[in-house]
Amino acid sequence: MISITELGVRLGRTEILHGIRLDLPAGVHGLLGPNGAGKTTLIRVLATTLRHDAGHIEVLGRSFDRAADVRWVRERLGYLPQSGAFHRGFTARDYVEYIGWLRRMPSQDIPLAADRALSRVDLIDRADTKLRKLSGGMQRRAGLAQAIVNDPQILLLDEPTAGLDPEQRVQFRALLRELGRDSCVVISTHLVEDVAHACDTVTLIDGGRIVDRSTPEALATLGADTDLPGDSPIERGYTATLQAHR
Amino acid sequence: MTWHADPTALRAYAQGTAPDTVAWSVETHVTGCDTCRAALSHHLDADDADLLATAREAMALPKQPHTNRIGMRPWPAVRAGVLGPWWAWAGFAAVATGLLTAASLVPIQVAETRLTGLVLLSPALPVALAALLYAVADRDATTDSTPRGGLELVLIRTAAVLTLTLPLVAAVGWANDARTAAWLLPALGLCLISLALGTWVGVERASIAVAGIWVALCVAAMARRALPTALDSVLSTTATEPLWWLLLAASAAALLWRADRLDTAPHSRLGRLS
Repeated sequence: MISITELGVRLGRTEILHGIRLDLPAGVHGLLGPNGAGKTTLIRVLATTLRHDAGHIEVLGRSFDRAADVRWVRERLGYLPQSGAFHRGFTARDYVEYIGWLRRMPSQDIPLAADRALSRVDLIDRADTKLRKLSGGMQRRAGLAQAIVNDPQILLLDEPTAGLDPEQRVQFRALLRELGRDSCVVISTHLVEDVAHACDTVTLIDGGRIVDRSTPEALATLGADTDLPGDSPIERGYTATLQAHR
Repeated sequence: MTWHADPTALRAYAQGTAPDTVAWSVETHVTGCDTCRAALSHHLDADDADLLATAREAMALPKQPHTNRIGMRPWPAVRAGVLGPWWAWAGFAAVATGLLTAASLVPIQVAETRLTGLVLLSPALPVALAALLYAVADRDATTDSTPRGGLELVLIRTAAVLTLTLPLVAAVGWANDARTAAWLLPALGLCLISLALGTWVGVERASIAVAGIWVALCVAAMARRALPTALDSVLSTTATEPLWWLLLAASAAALLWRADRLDTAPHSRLGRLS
């Protein structure tokens, strides 16, 4: 559903991403890497909020070269940026409804879809509370609700579990698996456990390049009998792969 | 359905005593026949009736308060999102009314006409409101990733701003001089220039810059008491009107040519990365 070839992004003279090749079918895909690896940049390019300098991107069969195609893709996109919601004077419900409208959903479907999205992230009880009065974790869940309000075919989540407590993380991973059944979910994270419990594939990014494509199971096998630092086999496998490519 | 199940068969089925063939026949029939389904429910014992009632209730009532949202429209949320907070509009209306009143109270004699320096400022009203709106309106990366978040949002906001401010600008012109067009043309011109420049630097920055430069020029002209000259050179007099039309056309052309740029936020390159 997402096909990227030789993608490059520069900021001034710094190359943030270089030679990225990636094909992502339906399912839940993790982008894993240290801070500053280029994960957020890749997500932002896919979310159409950052222009790329080289290479070619095709999402749902449409290229990012034509403005009309970009708009078409945007209707089928869900995006949770790294930093939280800024519409702080909005109630959670108004925020989700507004984003639904911006995504060009038919207006008669929006209120129901917004409530459904808020239910799925377990925030329906606080739907009429202003975002600024919600806790950090609740704001994050409101952000998730807006990202799924239009039942997106492409769902891009940047550090989605930041600010969620352990119980909510478990709920969130279950939601991810449900969404990944027929859409392409891309999660950027630096938390190995997020990947271990929710993702079908893992793409390791370091220094703006893809260093490995793997599965959580393969990473765990790799880390099973090493004495590298890490709390779990998959964490040790992650460290081993990064070190092998540095 | 042309036939109905025999009441004895229904009773036997409900009590679990019907032979397999009868049970099978009743089961197939009641799935398609409302009358017999209703008749069957009268033969149920208390426990089964309870179970059925609970199941029906669970199916009829959604777990979350969903159904009361059917048929509703999201307009309050959209209005708040598109037009920004109401206090920005109220504040602007109050300040603009104050300025207009002041303008009508403090006339300045320029040649044959009674004018005030504030007249000069009025063409900046629409752009100033747009700038205020963009400064206070919430925007985030999510908005930038939506199909309506770019060009469409900009155009809707511009239309709303013009609807409110053009009558104000016209009123200033009318109160001071009959040549309303002299004020309307620069007002529209500044708006279009902001939009056109916005395709390069973002509408927010462009409208703040254009409104700022216009006000600065006006204040400078007033401070140097060069009002009559300033009026002649900036407002659309017979001499400068073609220039304004030219500027209007150039901005419109640039906007048409580069409209798609408003969909991809130009400032995003400067945003936080990784």
